[in-house]
Amino acid sequence: MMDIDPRKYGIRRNLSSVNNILIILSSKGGVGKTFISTSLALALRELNYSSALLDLDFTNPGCHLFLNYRPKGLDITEEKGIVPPEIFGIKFLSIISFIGERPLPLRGTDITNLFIELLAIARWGGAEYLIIDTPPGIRDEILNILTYIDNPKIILVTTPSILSITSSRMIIELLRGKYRILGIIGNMLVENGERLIKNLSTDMNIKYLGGIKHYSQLDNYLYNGEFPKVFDKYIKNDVMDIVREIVTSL
Amino acid sequence: MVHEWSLAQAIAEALKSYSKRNKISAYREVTLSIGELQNIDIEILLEALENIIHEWKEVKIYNIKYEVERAEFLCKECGYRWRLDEMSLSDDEREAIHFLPELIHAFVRCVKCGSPDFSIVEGRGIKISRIVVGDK
Repeated sequence: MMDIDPRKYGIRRNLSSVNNILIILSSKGGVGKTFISTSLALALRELNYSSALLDLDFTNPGCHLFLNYRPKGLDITEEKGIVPPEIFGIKFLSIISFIGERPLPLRGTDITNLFIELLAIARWGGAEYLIIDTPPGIRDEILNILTYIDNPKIILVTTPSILSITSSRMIIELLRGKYRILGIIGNMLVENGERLIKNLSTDMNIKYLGGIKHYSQLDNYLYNGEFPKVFDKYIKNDVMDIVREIVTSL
Repeated sequence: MVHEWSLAQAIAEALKSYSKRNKISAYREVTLSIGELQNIDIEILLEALENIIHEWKEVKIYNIKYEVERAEFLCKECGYRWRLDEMSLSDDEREAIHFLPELIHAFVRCVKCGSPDFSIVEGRGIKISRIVVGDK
């Protein structure tokens, strides 16, 4: 008796058609990873790249709220696997496309199985950039990315808060040497905040990719389903320089 | 085309990689264990798999068999074990679980105590469970 799990071979095959896989990471919660992930995906689309976004937060997904995407039922297409729906020109895959906004209680083994299964059947149609939004912590989802995805390029997100900066130092220690960290993005910047994050990047020898100011009305935009519109009008300007910095550093 | 095709492709890649690693050029028999929970269309899966391996030159597989592993669940709170036929699922729920078996956690609780904390003991997905190396 033997057990070969074929799914990990499916992951490699499906992701081999994607040029760049960018992992948006912070082990501290609430720093705006979902905001940054969605904004980067939208900005890459603006620059005419084929852009895809995967919400890897299975138990607490949020990217769909930024894209104002609220499917009522199963919303995927089957074509030699599953093809994510296109939302605002982005190939977008979230657990939301399967179960809507139902709670999904999962233990670690289930998270790993779900991760492997989803990536083994998801087809990205040759996307140039796949942005992966991750949940906080250094747990199953993150370890699965490091184990099952070849050559992930990591982008860290932090706010100027001491909680977030301390947490960033720890995750940089974990990743450095073995994985490629493209750089760090500062989010929710106010007053001297950017200086603190630049100090972190200098201390840890990690590139500072740029900063985004604090948008106090962000929740209102989300409540009203206005984020994509507001992104085009205001946020895009903040994000474009960061995206250009990322693209040139690849 | 249904997602059984991508599963067939993954099985084929796994066999090819295993053959290369272990310097195997022919299998008399390969057995797949197919979890009941995933509700795979086995005919389509086998047809897709045979189409893929038919093209192979370096590795031959003469016989593909399968066995269906019944799904079983275990409640972490009260210890009750149950089977798929003790639950009722809508067509949409079955369809979602067909793609991603772990999504059962979104639709089901322990049928005895109502706890959301249960595990899928067996019968969740696809494995290559047995191979017999050799010619026909």
